[in-house]
Amino acid sequence: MLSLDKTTENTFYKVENIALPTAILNRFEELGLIKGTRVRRVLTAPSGDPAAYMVRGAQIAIRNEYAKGITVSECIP
Amino acid sequence: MTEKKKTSYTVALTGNPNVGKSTVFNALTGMRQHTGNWAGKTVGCAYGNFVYKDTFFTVVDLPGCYSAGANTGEEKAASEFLAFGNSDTAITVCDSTCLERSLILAFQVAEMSKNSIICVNLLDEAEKKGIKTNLEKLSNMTGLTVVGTSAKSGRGLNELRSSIFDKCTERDDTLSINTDKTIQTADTKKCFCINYGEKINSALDNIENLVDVYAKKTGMKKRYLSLELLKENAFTISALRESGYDIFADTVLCETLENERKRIGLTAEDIRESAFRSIIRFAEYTASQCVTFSKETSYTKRCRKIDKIVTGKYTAFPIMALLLALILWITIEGANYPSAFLSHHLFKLQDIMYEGMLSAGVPEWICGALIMGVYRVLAWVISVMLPPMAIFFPLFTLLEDLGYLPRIAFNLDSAFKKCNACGKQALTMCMGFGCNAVGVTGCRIIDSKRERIVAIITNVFVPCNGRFPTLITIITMFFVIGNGIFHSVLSALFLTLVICFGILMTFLVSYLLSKTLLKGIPSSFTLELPPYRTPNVISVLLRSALDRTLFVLGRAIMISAPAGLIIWILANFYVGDSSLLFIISDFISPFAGLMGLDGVILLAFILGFPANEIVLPIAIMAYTQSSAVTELSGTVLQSLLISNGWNTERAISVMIFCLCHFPCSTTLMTIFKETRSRFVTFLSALIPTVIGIILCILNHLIFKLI
Repeated sequence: MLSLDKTTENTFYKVENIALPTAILNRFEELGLIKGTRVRRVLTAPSGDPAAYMVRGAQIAIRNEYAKGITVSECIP
Repeated sequence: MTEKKKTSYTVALTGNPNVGKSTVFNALTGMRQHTGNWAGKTVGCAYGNFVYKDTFFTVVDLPGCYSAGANTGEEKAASEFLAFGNSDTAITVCDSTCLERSLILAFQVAEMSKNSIICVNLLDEAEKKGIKTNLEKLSNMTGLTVVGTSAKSGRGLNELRSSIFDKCTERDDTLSINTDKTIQTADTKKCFCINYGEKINSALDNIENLVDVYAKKTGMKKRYLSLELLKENAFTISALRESGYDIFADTVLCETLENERKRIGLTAEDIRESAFRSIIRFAEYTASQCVTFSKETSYTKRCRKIDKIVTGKYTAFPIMALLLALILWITIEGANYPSAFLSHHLFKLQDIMYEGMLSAGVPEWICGALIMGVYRVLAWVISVMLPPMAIFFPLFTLLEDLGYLPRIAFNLDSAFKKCNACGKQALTMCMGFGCNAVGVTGCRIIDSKRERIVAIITNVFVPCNGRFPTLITIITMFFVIGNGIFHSVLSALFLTLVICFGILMTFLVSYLLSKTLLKGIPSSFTLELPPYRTPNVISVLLRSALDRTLFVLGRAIMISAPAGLIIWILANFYVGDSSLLFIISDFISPFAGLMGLDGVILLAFILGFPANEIVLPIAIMAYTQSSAVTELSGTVLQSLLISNGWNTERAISVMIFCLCHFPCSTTLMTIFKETRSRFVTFLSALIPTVIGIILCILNHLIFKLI
């Protein structure tokens, strides 16, 4: 179990829990990012923040401060 | 006579941002709404029409949204339009490269509107990525009409048109007596229905009868309305109240809702979450059954490689600067030739027309006003201002269509975050290069109101298309003198520096605003990085060059011509010994002198309020009133400016003030329209002007000290 911002690129993870304010939670929900969703980090911005993740086939950039609130665990590709 | 069939229908077009919705819209209606490769390009609704089998269809292009959840303004507009049955058919455009996510919205739309079609777009792109979608299976699993398209190449569009026709007319047929039985196919009898789980389903069944009356009156679907009320969706309830139906007044319904929630042991919020999850799960399941992925193709790998480089730690910023410099260089180098050609011929024509009119017996003052006033400013705008615009704009559009702009936002986000602003401001900033008014409108993609206002106020620090020909002219006249490739490269680099200075001001002012007037913390930021798409080079070049040229020409005629007339009158009406122009510029000249400018150029900035393109032409008009200059090539113009007291100091001041002063009238009007606030509009004019004045005075002082 680790937070999303600590993940390594190109490894598959499964979302275990999301602990974020409702407004942000809703935003992620719309993108299909909920408990159980598979994610994969694909890009990191030059300064290390934000990073882009593959979520349901789309590349989504998420700031590290929110990625911290998302717990994931590694899963098979 | 049989009963007359309805002959016009409304079709709503929805979809996630950046799935090619506008391309589908354009392809259907033959309109030319601009498309770009980034999420949020379409703001506001666009309307268009097409005729198919003698039937008239109106297509409404709703703003792109991720869900029908009514979180943002765009989503509210879209879901209200769909839920209240304003359309005969709703098409959800899906991205076949990430169908799973697109289906979430498609299913929400299918739940809320009576007739819906799933349009699986971007099939070409998906094929390149090795993604295959089984359209037939998708249709069978969902019971919805599914059409596969590739709107850019026109693939599948006829099928889409005929599906729209079928959907619209079959609904009509079931209502009217005159039923045409031939189009009642087996598919259409299936009904789309999401399984929300036993508890919620049973609650819905118990409520449906009670909401029937409201559903009929508002055109909403019974089941959808029941769920919305069970969820206690504040937006739907207030929308109902606005149409005259107060749910809270219906005690029976309210009690039943409350009882049902108690019976199944779920709160309104639980129901919302659970229902949304059911939709996501169904989308997940459907996509897993209908979509097959092959191994990563070379196309995907290439995209990833490019992304690695353009967002790389050491490569990202040099590439951004180089691309900007390259575009500016092509603009400067390329604009030279048409500029010289146009100016030579237009000014030659000036003499011919002047002589011609005089010999035809037209009074000299009319000739002067029309030719030396109106015509000359027009000729100036066309020959010096137009070519750089006509080159820059298409180049910028190419970069936009390619999908590079969101990467800029991705790279710059942490810098914007430090200024307590939104990374998407980078996108609106880029739009500002084309036109500040467009940039301001684009700020709608920023969700937080505070951050949106920061972006709107600071947009003007990016020089728009109308301003950087002025910058180019000054650079090539005072800083990088000479011809040839070497000099144009140098000019481009110099201009890049000037623009970087403008970007720096954007950051600085954003920071200051966030710390003072618009206090707050940075809000949530999610940004989609779309796949790169090959732009249709020739059509982009032709279309945007032509559109831009026509736009600038129109503006030149509407605004520059009267301005030219005013300047000519000011210069030729005398009060005592001196002309009005002289009196006014003399009056403001002490203040202008403090800023390192002169009265004429400051007056030109003020008169250039309607359009920034005409600032330099106005100044030159004023300067040339005394001298008989017939052609203004580079060297003549340079000596004209020098003889009027221009030097390095003044050139720098003019550039600073060009970069930092009140936005043009169009932009200010747009700001007011977007914010509905006089205060913000006033601030947008005041802040850059004050900063410009301070910087110019500083510049003047520095030169005095040297």
